[in-house]
Amino acid sequence: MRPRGQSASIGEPVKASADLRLITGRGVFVDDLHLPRMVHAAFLRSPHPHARILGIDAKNAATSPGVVAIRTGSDLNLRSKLMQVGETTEASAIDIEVLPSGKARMVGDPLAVVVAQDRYLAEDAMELIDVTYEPLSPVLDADVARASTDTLVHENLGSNVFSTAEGGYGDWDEAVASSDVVVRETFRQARCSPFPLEGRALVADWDPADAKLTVWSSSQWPHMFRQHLSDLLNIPLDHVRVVTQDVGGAFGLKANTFREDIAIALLAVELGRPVKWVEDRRENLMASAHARDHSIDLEIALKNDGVILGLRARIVDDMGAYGLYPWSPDSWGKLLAVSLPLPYKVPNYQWEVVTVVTNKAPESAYRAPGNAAGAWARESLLDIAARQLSLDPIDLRRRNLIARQDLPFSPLGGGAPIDAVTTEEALEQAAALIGYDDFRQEQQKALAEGRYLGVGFGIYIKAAGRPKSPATVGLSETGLESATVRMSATGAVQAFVGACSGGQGYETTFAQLVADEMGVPVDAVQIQMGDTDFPAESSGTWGSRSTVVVGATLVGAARDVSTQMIAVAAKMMEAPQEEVALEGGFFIAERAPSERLSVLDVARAAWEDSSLAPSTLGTGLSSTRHYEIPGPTYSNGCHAAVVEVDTETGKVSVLRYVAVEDCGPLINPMIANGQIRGAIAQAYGSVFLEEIVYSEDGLPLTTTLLDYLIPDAASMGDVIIKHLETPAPGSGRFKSLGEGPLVASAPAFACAVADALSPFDARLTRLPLKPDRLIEATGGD
Amino acid sequence: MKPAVFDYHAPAIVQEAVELLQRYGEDATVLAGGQSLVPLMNLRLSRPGHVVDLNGVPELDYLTVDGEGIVVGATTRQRTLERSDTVRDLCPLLWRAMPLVGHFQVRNRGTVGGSLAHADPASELPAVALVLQAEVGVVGPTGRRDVKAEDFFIDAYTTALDSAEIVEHVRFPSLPGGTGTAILEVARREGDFAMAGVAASLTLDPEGLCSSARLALFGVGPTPVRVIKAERILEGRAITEELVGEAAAMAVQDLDPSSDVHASAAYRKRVAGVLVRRAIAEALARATGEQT
Ligand SMILES: Cc1cc2nc3c(=O)[nH]c(=O)nc-3n(C[C@H](O)[C@H](O)[C@H](O)COP(=O)(O)OP(=O)(O)OC[C@H]3O[C@@H](n4cnc5c(N)ncnc54)[C@H](O)[C@@H]3O)c2cc1C
Repeated sequence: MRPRGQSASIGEPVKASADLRLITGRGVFVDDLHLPRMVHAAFLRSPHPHARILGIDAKNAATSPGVVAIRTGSDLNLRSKLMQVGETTEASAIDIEVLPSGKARMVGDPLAVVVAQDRYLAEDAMELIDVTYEPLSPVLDADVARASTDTLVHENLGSNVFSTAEGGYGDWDEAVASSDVVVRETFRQARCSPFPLEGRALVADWDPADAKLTVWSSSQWPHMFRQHLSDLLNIPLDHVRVVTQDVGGAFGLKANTFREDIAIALLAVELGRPVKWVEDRRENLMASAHARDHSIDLEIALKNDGVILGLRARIVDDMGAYGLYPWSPDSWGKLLAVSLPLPYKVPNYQWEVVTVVTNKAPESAYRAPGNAAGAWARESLLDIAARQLSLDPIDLRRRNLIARQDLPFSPLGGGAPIDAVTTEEALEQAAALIGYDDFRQEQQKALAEGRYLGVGFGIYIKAAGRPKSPATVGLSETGLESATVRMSATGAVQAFVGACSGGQGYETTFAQLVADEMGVPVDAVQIQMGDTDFPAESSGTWGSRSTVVVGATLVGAARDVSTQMIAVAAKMMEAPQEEVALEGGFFIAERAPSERLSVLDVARAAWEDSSLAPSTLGTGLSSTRHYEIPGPTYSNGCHAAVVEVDTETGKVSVLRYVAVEDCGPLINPMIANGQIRGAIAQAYGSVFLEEIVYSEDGLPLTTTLLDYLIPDAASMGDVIIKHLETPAPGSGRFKSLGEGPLVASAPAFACAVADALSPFDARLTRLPLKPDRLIEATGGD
Repeated sequence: MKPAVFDYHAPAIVQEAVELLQRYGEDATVLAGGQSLVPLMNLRLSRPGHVVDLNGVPELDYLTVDGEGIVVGATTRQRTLERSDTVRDLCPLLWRAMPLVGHFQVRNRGTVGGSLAHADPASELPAVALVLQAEVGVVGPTGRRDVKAEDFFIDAYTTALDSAEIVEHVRFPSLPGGTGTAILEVARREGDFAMAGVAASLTLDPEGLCSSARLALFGVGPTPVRVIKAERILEGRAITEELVGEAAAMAVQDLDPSSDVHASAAYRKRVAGVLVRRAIAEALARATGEQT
């Protein structure tokens, strides 16, 4: 076989194999699935943020044309276990019903489900359901909710505080006592939407003959979803199959199991017909989940020379009305807290997270949960501190970064040592590429002409593939992954993978990994994913884990199959195994180089001739491996932006943008750069555009794309991307890229705007930086 | 987000469309590009029992030059104007407005008649129609009539059209020589509806004095507004920076915009003044030939 490290496709911009299919409209998403006898569901949702449900009358709706069934909580709730969230020591649990029966706790709470011949008829019938509500006063603001004793969202909690958690290390008070200055600011993230283009969607089908439930879902974790369906509906695990086809983005939203999922599965079982539900955009924006409704009160203690002595964070997280199964609702606030100091050496750190229940949609993970929100606050505070200490913001960062000489760095808060990161190189290169040395002059010159330019930096270190994640409970095994590679009798390599692609291009990058390991062309490898009946197990696609975890697993299995093939070829050629090699698609024995066997010859023979079996335990060419790398990998990066702010209109133009990333050796630069650009777009959205807004009486005001603005192609300008490719220590080499770039990007944009408006002493502590807020911050109206 | 039940009608001539509208009265709605109507129907905010589709009426889709201007059939796509050299040469303000209307995908479907009839307060075309003193050609059961742009826009999403009337065409007069125009807006993203905007035209006499000024604001009230008091400040004078500032202040003085998730009322008012100032400067630069 090819000597290791001498790759053929790794590092090449191999065209993504799904592109042609997706671009020509041949993708198959949940809504493209049409099964015989299939019926369609729509959910009746509460128009009130908080109301007692006194009665639901579906008589008129039941006779509406095309209606198959109408069910409410009283029909469904007893047929499923309660979805209990929150079992951590600080928290009490919330029991979530399939469809709430006593109280609606948010606008969009699903109170009834209508199944009809098509979605149009289902929506027609839905309008005829008569619900009697007794409106209750809602709590919408986390601070108000915390203090409230008379308006409780969940009476069993006794208050609207779901949990209060504390942690840290060192001694904050001591840090303050030895510091020259303490800088403090409260940062307000906007509640936003994870916003996959394809919303939540599933088709559930019950086969009474086999007593098997099959669910086609737009999920990012089919195996976890299978487990939840089995647990909640009490169906044996081997009688549940979850299939994902093309997934139109996920971003964390689809690593939850929703009430609607359970309701649809129950209806499929009850009706014996496939039931489809595809949420529409209004449901997605109003009732699926939101993210990042955090308020972050951050204090930093420094010496005059900029050395950080300590950090204190007091975080209030508005978790909305429920939490999402199976996560503890305080997971994301805690993840924010523990990730805050990350790229810097912070000797003393103290944090508190208060997770508060309100009458709003529940909180979901959203790409780089915690990390992305925290980085904006942290980097903004560092800039404020630099201004206050009259230090160059880059110098201040240089002074505190976890640098080469600190590696391996044991995080003071615990966790695996940080190694193989290049924070200084990334910062220096970003500074050079953005033109930092000359920028201050450029900025002064512009200012003299009445133009406001600013530069901002964002830095991250992000772990991935960690065996245990600190802030979650129960299913924290991001390291759970097994994959099977098999050489078929046709000469094609099939690799069965548990993680599934929501647009990350795994069909291509995983195929590259297998192909290079086995010495076959990339297009000879078929990546099979997204079906729990495949020989692969996984905790899903989240937490930047897939390339690190699946990649390492696949490479191991592919290596086994290569070895098996050599064994078979050796037998066929009657040569010792050590003398057989695969070259240019042919097996050649050292002593008789003219007698060659093709990959196909060997593959066929192995499947057809039992005497050639590579081992006494089995015949085929196949291997299943588990992820076995013990620790996480750490990626890092630095982004820099130069912006110009029109201080009369509040319009921000991005003049230059640089991303320096170290995700280890690149498997496919084209796909890697796509991930980075996508992350920058999402960061742009969160800094400038996206905000879920509720009215004072609890009505969501951003339920269409007219009101909730996401970044589009026209919003994005040129981006310069530079890769440092430091391999992870150990055998895995590859590091993660899925989330990190988002973490660095938001602060780069936001700090650049703050820098541009520094002549006004503008306080930019609330996202998004809308034009009206910028004008207000400059002292305009 | 599925529309309620409706009957679909596809007339082939204008007369037939008018008859259908007359037959079904308030329960009927005209469908043109569908870029505004279809989302409203999907949200069930609009629930017509009968939809009368004008897309199969060829006589409504044209663009002609007529004496002192151009005449545009109601179902002519916005994109057609954007790509037309005739519009660029004879009606530059209209031409400049087009790229500000949504994205090109929207303009490929959205129609000129639809933009006027829909009368979105933040829409560009109604403001352009005011500045150009366009005339809207309307046809209904009792025949045809022309409505001046200044009489056409009654309130937000409300026009002078009767329920059985349709916009048949709109006539945009050309402006005299020595005229410069500009249209400026601020929107959250490129292609979004304006948070505030202004369309402006300035005509200079041979001495360089402003012989005519027209300014219409959009996105800052229920309808587009001509700000005649501000125009008066400019007319008959040599336009100086000071004068422009005065006109801009006057233009926004009586505005009472509303707040929404995109921008506060105060912001809208303030930025409208900025845009008026910039638009006058830009129109002036075009009138004097300093800028194309
Ligand atoms: C993403 C997006 C962005 C947009 N951005 C902008 C923007 O920035 N600026 C802007 O101005 N517009 C914008 N629009 C709206 C777009 O320009 C619409 O096309 C336009 O407002 C309506 O034109 P239409 O042909 O699509 O009409 P339709 O949607 O078909 O109809 C709209 C209304 O007008 C009535 N109507 C249509 N034609 C006639 C007629 N001939 N006679 C009588 N009544 C008629 C209909 O009955 C209906 O009530 C945007 C739309 C979208 C989807």
